[in-house]
Amino acid sequence: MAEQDWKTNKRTFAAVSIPTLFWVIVFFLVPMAMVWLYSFGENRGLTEIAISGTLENYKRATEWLYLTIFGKSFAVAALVTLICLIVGFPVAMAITFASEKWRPWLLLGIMLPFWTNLLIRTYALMMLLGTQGYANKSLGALWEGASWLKTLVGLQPLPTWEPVQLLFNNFAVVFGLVYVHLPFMVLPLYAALDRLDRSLIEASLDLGAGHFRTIMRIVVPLAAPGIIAGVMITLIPALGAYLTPDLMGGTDSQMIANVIERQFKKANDWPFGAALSFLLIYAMFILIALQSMRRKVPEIH
Amino acid sequence: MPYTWLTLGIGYRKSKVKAKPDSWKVLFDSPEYAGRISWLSEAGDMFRLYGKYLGKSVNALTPADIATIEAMMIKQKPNVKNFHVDDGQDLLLKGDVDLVLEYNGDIAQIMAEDDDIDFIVPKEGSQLNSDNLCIPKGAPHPKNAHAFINYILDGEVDKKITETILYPTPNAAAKALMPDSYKNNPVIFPPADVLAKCEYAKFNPELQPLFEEAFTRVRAA
Amino acid sequence: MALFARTPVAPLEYSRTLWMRLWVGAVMIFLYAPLIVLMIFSFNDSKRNVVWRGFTTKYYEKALGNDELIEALLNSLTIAGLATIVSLALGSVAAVMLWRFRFPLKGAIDGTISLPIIVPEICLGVAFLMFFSMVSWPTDLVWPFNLAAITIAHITFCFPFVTMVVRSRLATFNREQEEAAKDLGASEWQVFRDVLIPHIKPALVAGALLSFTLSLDDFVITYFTSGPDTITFPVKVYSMVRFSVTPEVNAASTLLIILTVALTFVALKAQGVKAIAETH
Repeated sequence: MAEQDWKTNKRTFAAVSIPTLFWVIVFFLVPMAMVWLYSFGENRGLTEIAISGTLENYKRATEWLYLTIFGKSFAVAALVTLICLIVGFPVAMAITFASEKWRPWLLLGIMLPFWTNLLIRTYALMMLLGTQGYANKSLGALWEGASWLKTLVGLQPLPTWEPVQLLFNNFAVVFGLVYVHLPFMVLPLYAALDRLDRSLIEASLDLGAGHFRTIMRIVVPLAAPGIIAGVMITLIPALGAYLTPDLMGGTDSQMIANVIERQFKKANDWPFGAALSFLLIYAMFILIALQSMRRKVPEIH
Repeated sequence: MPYTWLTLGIGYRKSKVKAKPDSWKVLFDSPEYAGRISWLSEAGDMFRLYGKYLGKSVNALTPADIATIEAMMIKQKPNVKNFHVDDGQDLLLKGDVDLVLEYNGDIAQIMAEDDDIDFIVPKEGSQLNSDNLCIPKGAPHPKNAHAFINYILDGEVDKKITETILYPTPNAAAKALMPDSYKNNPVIFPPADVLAKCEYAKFNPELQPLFEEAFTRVRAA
Repeated sequence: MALFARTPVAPLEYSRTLWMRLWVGAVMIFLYAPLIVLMIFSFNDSKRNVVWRGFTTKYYEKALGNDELIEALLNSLTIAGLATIVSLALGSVAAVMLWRFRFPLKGAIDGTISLPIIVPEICLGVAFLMFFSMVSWPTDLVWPFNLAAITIAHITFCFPFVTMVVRSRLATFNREQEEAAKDLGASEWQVFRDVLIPHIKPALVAGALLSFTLSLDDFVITYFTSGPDTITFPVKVYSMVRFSVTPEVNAASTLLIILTVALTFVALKAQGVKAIAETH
């Protein structure tokens, strides 16, 4: 049955549209419009800001310095998304082809950490990765073991174990972002794989293609909408990540969200922060436009 | 009204340094402790302290000074492990770093737990700050605000605050109630000759965005 | 589930092959090990988080005796509860609007509703910071009205998720049921209440769970909108860390994790594992 024209049932339409539109306009579009206006303003004194229509903030925001930070944020987000895809795809496959009894529990297992507070998960990870943390201790134990094995076969033991730097560098930021964003990737992948026609895979296998070839040639193209949805849903929050680089990053790990936050909380330069925010939002728009140009936006759920 | 004041200095692990780090040089201009240093992530404080290291007043930095300092920071950056968000005392305590730029009270707190840790105000001097209680113009309940400030400034109340935060209190009545171990602690109350070299930092709305931008460049470099 | 299959593995039983199991197992360890270590260390009898010095529950006593922390937790739960209720109502209404009607500018409105999902948290936080300071939102209201600003911000980013989930559920609705109800004399409202609502109930449960956890989870947006009286749990934890991460933080976090798990199981009881998994 087709959709109803709003004119045929105005009362019901009003009942459902007025609250929605009111909320979206007052509590979303108006605040966003304020940021947009501020981005054309300048500081006049400590607390006064004049909307003067200046483009100075955008000029500053598109300087080489800030462009490189945007570029770096994008590179980090893309790397995180790629790792999530590589790690998450087999997991989504496993869930899809798991038995009826196990599937819901596997899904729940993936979702549960996602329901735990982001800040708490980040601290948990930091505890594990510190110089004296358990990740380093386990690696140290493995090293000792390898060294002992070497002496066993009569070779020189390995040099003594030096704790590796797992925290406060770009590796830590990527690791932390993968940790918090993995569920975002697995769920849409699973949704797409679940809809797949299994007879196609069986046919491919029957006709002699190997598992790997079947996956690359049959499963991946068929699940492409889900893969794209997963990529977008991981890439976008990763691009705007703030807490992870702030807490786990090293001296050169700042991402664009950190720069934006500092304009508001430290530098007291709201117009410039607003301009940076809008550049980030425009970047999101471009990503989404690119995606819908490739194909019609797939439903995430 | 100030209810506590503070100074910045170097918190360090005694067993891991060769000599007392009595100069900002070890933190700002030397590869001696590469990878074991943590800076504070406050752009303004960092630039002002660098200024102090160069023998300038913390409140008289010029854009040219900022450029010089920026270049020095970029040169030193590979030796620095991270910019901490005022949790440097934890990094020091956990052994993630051995030298950290921190506020005296934070280090005093962990010195009570680990006697391998010490704090020093470098010989070039440092900056002083105070945490203040203020009533903004046009505040809706100035009377309540005054009542609250009076409460905080009460000797017994401030004593309890001070016992927890271990920062120097400007409140003589509260200080009198504290044990000698607090009153005579050179970390909390640096000696007069050290304080003489420190300066009180002012917020400068002109320079603050410059500090931030320069620091952003340092981080991006 | 034995690691080695007793019956021969069929071609499509990917989840029964050894390397697949190892991979999933490794991912689960990756996801859960940090949380488990965090929970174990909440019982550690040392202020330093790295070395095990013996079992104690004193940090739980400390956390539970910390009035500000409890207040922050109550604030968080209140905000999450209110935000969930409003998001459910608003989200379903919006879903019905988009599902049922054809109207001018539909594409634009549809896009705008899902925009809060796309806009980075930091930008949304900044927008609310400006908005509430520009309209001089009153800050001296009594509890729980002082939480309104944060709640509003949370509703804005929660309700699009509800709309999304409810809409996909509505897509499977057979409109003939609605027609039949109307033919039998049901009013518009009765149809909504007795036919539509029961049909979308699993989506509502999933949406509620999603909103509640999103709200409870949010740090960035709240960090920009909270005031001195309206500290939420994540913001409080963030500020506690500035004074040192003691096992008290671990204890408080463990309590929150347990709360989340308990909530999930309540929802599962209400709806069954499968329904939740299906709507994710």
